[in-house]
Amino acid sequence: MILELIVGYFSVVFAMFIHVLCFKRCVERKLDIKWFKILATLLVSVLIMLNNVFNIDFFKSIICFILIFILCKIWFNEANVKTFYYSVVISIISMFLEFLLINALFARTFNCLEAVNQSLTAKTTGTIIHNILVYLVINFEVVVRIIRKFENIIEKYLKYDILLLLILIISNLFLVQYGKNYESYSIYIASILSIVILSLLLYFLLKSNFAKENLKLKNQYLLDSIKKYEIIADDYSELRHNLNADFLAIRSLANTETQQIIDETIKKYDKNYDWIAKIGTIPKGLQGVLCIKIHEFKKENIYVELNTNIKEDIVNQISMKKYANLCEILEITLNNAKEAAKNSAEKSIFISILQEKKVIKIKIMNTFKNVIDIERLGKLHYTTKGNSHGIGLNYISRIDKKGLKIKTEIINNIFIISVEFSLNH
Amino acid sequence: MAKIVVVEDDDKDQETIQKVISPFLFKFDEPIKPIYYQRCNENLLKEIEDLSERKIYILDICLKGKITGISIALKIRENDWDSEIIFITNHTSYEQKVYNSVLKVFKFIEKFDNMEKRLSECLEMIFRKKVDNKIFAYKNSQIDLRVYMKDILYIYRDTNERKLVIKTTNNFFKVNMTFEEIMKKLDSRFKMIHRSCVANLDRINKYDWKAGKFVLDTGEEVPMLSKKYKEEVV
Repeated sequence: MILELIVGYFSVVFAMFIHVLCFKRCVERKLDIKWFKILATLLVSVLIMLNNVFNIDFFKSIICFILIFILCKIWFNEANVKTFYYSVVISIISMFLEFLLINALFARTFNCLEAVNQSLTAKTTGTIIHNILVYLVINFEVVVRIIRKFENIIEKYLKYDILLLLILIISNLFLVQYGKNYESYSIYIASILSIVILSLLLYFLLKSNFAKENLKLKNQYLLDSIKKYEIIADDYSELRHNLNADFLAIRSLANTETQQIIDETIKKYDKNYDWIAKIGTIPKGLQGVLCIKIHEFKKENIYVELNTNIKEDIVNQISMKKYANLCEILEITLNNAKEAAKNSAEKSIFISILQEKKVIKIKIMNTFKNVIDIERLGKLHYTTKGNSHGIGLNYISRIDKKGLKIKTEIINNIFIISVEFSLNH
Repeated sequence: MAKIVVVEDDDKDQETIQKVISPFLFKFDEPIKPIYYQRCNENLLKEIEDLSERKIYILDICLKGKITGISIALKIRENDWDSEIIFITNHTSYEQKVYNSVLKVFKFIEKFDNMEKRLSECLEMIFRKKVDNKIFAYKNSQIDLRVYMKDILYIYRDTNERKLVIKTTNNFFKVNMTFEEIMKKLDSRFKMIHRSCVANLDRINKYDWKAGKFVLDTGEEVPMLSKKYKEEVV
């Protein structure tokens, strides 16, 4: 009996050290061996043994886990959430392997689980094999990489910690249940499947959240870059303004020949980049559509003027449906504007996005040179652009009633589409 | 009362403009009030939205910050096509042609090229000239059409589609109207010169009654002139 207790105790000590080694592998820390840590391990092992012998089945795993958590905290003093996460994951892996080991090695292969339970040597050997197996699995680079990958998400969201703990408790309950009915193949399959399914569910949940977090992070970097870019663009704008003024002050004092050189120099560097400086003020979500379109306009040698005063993030203040409609209208209108403007003498498009209180007013003005049938404009398949066109304006007129006020005008040689919508509903 | 609205961020230039404007304030029967801004602000926006008075805007194109003189002009032209816009610019550029046509800019004046004299001449012209901003307006369920009458060259009947075609300096607009209906919307400068054509007499340079054609100030020859309507024209 005493021998059994001593051997059992040392196998628990061995299991605890393996757990500490697995934890070390996960958190990539050095094993700083100190006397108090070893003493703590020995003490925790005693407590785990007592827990295994005297506690009721349901609380065994929870108490055992708390003790392991305290041990890892003593050894590495990592943040609580981090310690919790790695301790739970190692415990779940350990439990899963124990399941496989009991069934594959003793119950199914040798059909001798009862005998193993009676034999001290067999039990100790089983514990040692099981713990070495856990250590080997955790030492696989792929496994440890996957475990580490989700650390940040687990640290951030409490719900995943709770889910992990639940999986641990459920797995343990299955294990206890199976320990009592080790001959029942159905309990075994159900237990394994439940643990695998729950773990996979959590894995995919974490994976999708990981992707979302990654995207959020990338967006944050992008937004930071835009902010930095806006500051640079502002500086550039002011510098250009001052430089131009200085240049022209010099020009007024220069002779005709020098004046010509100055004029040519100004012309050479006078690129219409003002719109780029204003992109930061365009509401998020419309920036993409507008940037692409303006780039297309530039390729067609179309002059673009952009005027905005938006300060709020409007995308979060309107419904998704209205937002989708708005993007669609912008896309169609800007395409139409491009086609019309590129044939006109002035080749110009003016885009104005203004906010007046809670109303956003978008106005797209473009020059054109066409024969326009005022009566058929906006009717299906009527186009001034040739075949395969003539759907845009008609489509826009049908969107009209869905929370967006759209007005089409022609003033002299300018085609104007105004889109108005409220941020309140 | 007329207002001269100046937007100029450079103190020196604003002072110069002020000097140019001063003599005009009491020169004409019409009272003139100058207002000065250094940048686009709430008050300027309110001023732009107030259409009760005739205005002359003097705008510096290159203002410090994101709102340029062009942006202000665009805002003005959202509702106001009657006020005159004069741009003060550092140098001439390709865009001027664009703005001139699209925003109906009265003049571009270079800061370093006799600005005082040229600005004074412009203001003189604006205050003395007969303002002709009459507009022909047509509306259907889809679109509002507004064209300066001075920009309409002639109107003819498209016999195939049985529609009237309004020919302007740059475009053609087809509308479902009769000559009788359209004449009611136009002023006296428009006369019937052919049974299928109404022309803007202010834009015709030459009548060739013999050949049955007229020549516009754009150089275009239109073969739709009938002796039957000679009396009306002459």
